[in-house]
Amino acid sequence: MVFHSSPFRRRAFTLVELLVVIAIIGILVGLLLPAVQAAREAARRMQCSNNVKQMGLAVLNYESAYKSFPIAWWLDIPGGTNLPAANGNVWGVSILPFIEQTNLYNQFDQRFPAMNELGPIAQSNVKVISTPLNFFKCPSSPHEATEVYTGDASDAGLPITWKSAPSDYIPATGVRGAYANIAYAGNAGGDRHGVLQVYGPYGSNRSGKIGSITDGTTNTILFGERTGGGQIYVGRTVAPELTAVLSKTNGGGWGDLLNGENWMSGAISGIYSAAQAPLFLQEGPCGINCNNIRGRSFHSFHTGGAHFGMCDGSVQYLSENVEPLVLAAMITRQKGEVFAFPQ
Amino acid sequence: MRLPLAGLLLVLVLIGVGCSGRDPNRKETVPVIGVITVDGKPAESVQITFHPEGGMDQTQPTETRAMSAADGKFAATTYELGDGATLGKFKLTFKLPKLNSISMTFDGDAFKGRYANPEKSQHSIEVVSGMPIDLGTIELSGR
Repeated sequence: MVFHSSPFRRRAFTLVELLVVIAIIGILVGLLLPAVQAAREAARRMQCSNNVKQMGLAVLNYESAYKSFPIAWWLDIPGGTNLPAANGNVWGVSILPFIEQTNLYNQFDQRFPAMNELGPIAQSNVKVISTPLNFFKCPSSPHEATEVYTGDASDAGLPITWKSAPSDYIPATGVRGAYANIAYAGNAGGDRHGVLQVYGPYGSNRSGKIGSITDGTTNTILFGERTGGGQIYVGRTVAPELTAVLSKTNGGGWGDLLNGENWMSGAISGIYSAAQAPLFLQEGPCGINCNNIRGRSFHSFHTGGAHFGMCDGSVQYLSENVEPLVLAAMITRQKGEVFAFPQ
Repeated sequence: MRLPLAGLLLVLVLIGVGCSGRDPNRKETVPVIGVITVDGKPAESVQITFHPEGGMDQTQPTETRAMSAADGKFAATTYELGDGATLGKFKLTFKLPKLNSISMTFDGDAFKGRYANPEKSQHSIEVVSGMPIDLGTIELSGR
């Protein structure tokens, strides 16, 4: 036998070589995948921040046009009981002409609120506010812009319902409760109103003039991110038990009146469980990303923080570990707090 | 073979020690638990406020609260659900409010303020580092 007689020697991979190559490719892909995901999230975050910027400019353009900021929300029920004569509106509808949605704005009949029970015009207004607008959707949030949910104020003694398309943004109308207590170390007296004001039976009539922001427009928040739609999240976990109770009054839509009611009293963090669901309604020291319950904390699906639109038109990304005093100081417009701006 | 194994163990222990530390921006909290009954039955959504003796810490303000679950059980909460109370002496007050679904505040008190005054509170505790407290059953009257 002569082994080397053949002039051709077939070149081939051994199994070990093949496995090593596959392993190396696997490791490289493993390294790359998180980077790709991070890049995708960064792009979504940028889009979200752009929405905040545009929305901030829209609010400031509204101020230029009307010499006053839009009202966060108002509801006027004549005599307190005459529901058929009620009217009300919310900031999301007021700024429509300034985000190039004039056509949609013109379909909204200002003589009526958007409520199912108050006749055909009010019903057609409900159709307007259940129009999905990508502009109000943060791409990082898991819900779709088309996810219309049902609102219902019966629990609060008002037999009215509506439908609304989601918005991931909510105004900062003030600070109160545990959050104010912690922020101001037990001395939470005085004016803790935000810039966008609540009018009517649920709020007081205060000036919406830009001159009333004595804390400075750069230091004061107009609105921030809060995951909207009909779903309640604790951290990033879907909370079905809380959703069942809260979603219809959580103000998760851009035309939902309750989207304008966001006096913040802070949230607590923790790991969600069905048995402890109601306990997550407690007020606490967390201002960002603990849950998206209205009046508790701002909420986004970005890593480590959320975007805020400021009164000078700028966009700030605040860390979820922000000190209560800092966030409270940025929400109030004329409390005169001294604080270090987060870097 | 002995030495690398020992080295590995040492590294693991160091990682364990390094990662177990508390958030330096947070104060130490000690679990405080108990059960609330109203007229003998476990009571849900009773709010318990921990009033620190001498007022709120001015340098690093925190507030400890708790809320009872459906079975009447509660666990003091400062930062995270059930993480406990900060150190020091507290007087406890109790309220049974209702959630206002418009303003999202807890309004009113079914006890009519009977247990809401820290000056008259019958329940005082002292929280000491490393000593979890079980307050047992706290009996309140709804009438």
